[in-house]
Amino acid sequence: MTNVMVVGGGPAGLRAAESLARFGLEVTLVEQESYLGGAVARHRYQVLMPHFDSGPAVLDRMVSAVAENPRIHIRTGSRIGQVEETDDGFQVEILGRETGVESVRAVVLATGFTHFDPRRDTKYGYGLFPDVITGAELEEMMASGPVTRPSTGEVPKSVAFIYCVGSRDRQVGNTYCSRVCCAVSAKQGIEVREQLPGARLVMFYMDVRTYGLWEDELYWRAQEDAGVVYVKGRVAEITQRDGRPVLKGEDTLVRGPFEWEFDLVVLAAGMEPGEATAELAAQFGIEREPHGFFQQTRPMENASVTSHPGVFVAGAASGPKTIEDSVMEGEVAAMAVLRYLDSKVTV
Amino acid sequence: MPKGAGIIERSLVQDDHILEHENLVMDGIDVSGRWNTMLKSRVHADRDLDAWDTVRQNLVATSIDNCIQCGMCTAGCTVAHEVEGFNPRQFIYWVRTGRTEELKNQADVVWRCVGCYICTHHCPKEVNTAEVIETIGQWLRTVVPERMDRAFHVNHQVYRNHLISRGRLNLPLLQTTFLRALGRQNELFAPEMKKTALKMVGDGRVLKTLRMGRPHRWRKNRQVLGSEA
Repeated sequence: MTNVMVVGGGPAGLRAAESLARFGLEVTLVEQESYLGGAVARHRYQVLMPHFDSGPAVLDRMVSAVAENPRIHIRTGSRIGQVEETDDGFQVEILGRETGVESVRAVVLATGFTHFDPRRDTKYGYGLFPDVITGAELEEMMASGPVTRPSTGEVPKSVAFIYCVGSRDRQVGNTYCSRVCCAVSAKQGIEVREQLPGARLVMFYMDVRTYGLWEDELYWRAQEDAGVVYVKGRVAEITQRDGRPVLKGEDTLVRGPFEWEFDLVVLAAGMEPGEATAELAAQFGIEREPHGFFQQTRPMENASVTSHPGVFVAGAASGPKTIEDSVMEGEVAAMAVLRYLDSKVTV
Repeated sequence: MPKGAGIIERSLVQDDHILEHENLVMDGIDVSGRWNTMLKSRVHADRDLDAWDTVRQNLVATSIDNCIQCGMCTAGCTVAHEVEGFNPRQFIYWVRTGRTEELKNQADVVWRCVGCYICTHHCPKEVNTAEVIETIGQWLRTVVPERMDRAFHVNHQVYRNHLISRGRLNLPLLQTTFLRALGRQNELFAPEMKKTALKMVGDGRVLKTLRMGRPHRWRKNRQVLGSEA
């Protein structure tokens, strides 16, 4: 029986596992957390960008398709140990509740991303001022109740969103764009407006990258329907005055410094390679690209091909990506595994 | 003593950023002259979003929220290429970010729009820019009438009276009334004006103007117009 291992139980990994099992392969799905669903489950996303799909509904469909499939062997709370290459694949050690060695012919790495931790960029005062939160924390807040100020529990009268936190910044070591935060912030602006009809909502941006169809679906909609104001200029510093965060920056459209107080500040923190990326790259002998993500070596042919035969990548593990794109790459990786196994049989 | 004389490296500081009172007593202590010298901060912190709230509620100006600051309006603007400070994109941004002080300083400039509507036709976001700018002007007229040119107020009054009394615009009469009200009747006898007048007599436009009656059912419309502030 042909066995394939999928590492990572987020949208990309779940899709890859589901498809591989549908094609008749036995799949071992390894997930380090105790639950499946990746970031969608971790932050309890209720509404997904860009189509405002229900997060729980999407998550339920993805997880149940995998959980109910007898060909998929789920190993949650587990990590990858020693990896040994053999003539027809890999001997992979799984560390967890049931430690053991699996013999697999191909591996799909779908280990995703981690959010940039804004504590590393001290100018935003994150971790110091209670009313400065991340976009993921706003999602968690909206999943469990109304939007409030963490310091007082009051309903905020003004909310600021700061773009490009931990992205496009040599000082923090990330020179790339995280691709989704502009659109996610616009989506959050629209959601927050529904809760807070009278609040001032302001986005501080360098440029707005709601590319493709998101331009009118998210960016324009946030402005036109939700009355969100966009101020051009990256915020240089957050301080606190009378218990409220004060944003200091330059409004580059009028060329002058400003100070602006808000009740709540949301940092659109970008994406970084998942914690285990470097270790897994070494274990499976694949290359990483200059930003630290897994290298897609032949992206013009197939998004999931890496520098090592038999090792494939899917989702945000190879760079910042939307849920939609991650799911698509899960499918792509499954197809690439089939092609690979087929070529091994016939050659 | 000249302004800011006590400042070391005085040449680095702009005149209008120096605050200095000749005579000032604070808490009983005389701090006249250079003792009270302060530098004005460039930081913009006093935000007033009333203008935005007012403008976006006006039926013809709700599209102000569509603006993405691309600058297409100012790029094509007839007036911006001639009048310094006339910048529709900037006016919209000032309103939306609560920079009403800057706006008030340009109260007179905002009204220089000639109504060509190129901005409205160019706008990729379907902002009705011409009417948004006029709405901003209307807001300025109510909050800082003293900062508008006298000609603006006179023109406004003459135009309105004209409409109420006659029901339609009679341009030669409008022109003469306007100049007389400003005490500029001499301009009526300028050579260019004479030439135009003779031409209009010649081609019959003057006669036509004199025969012009009031519009149908004007009395009813006048009541509406007259009741507006």
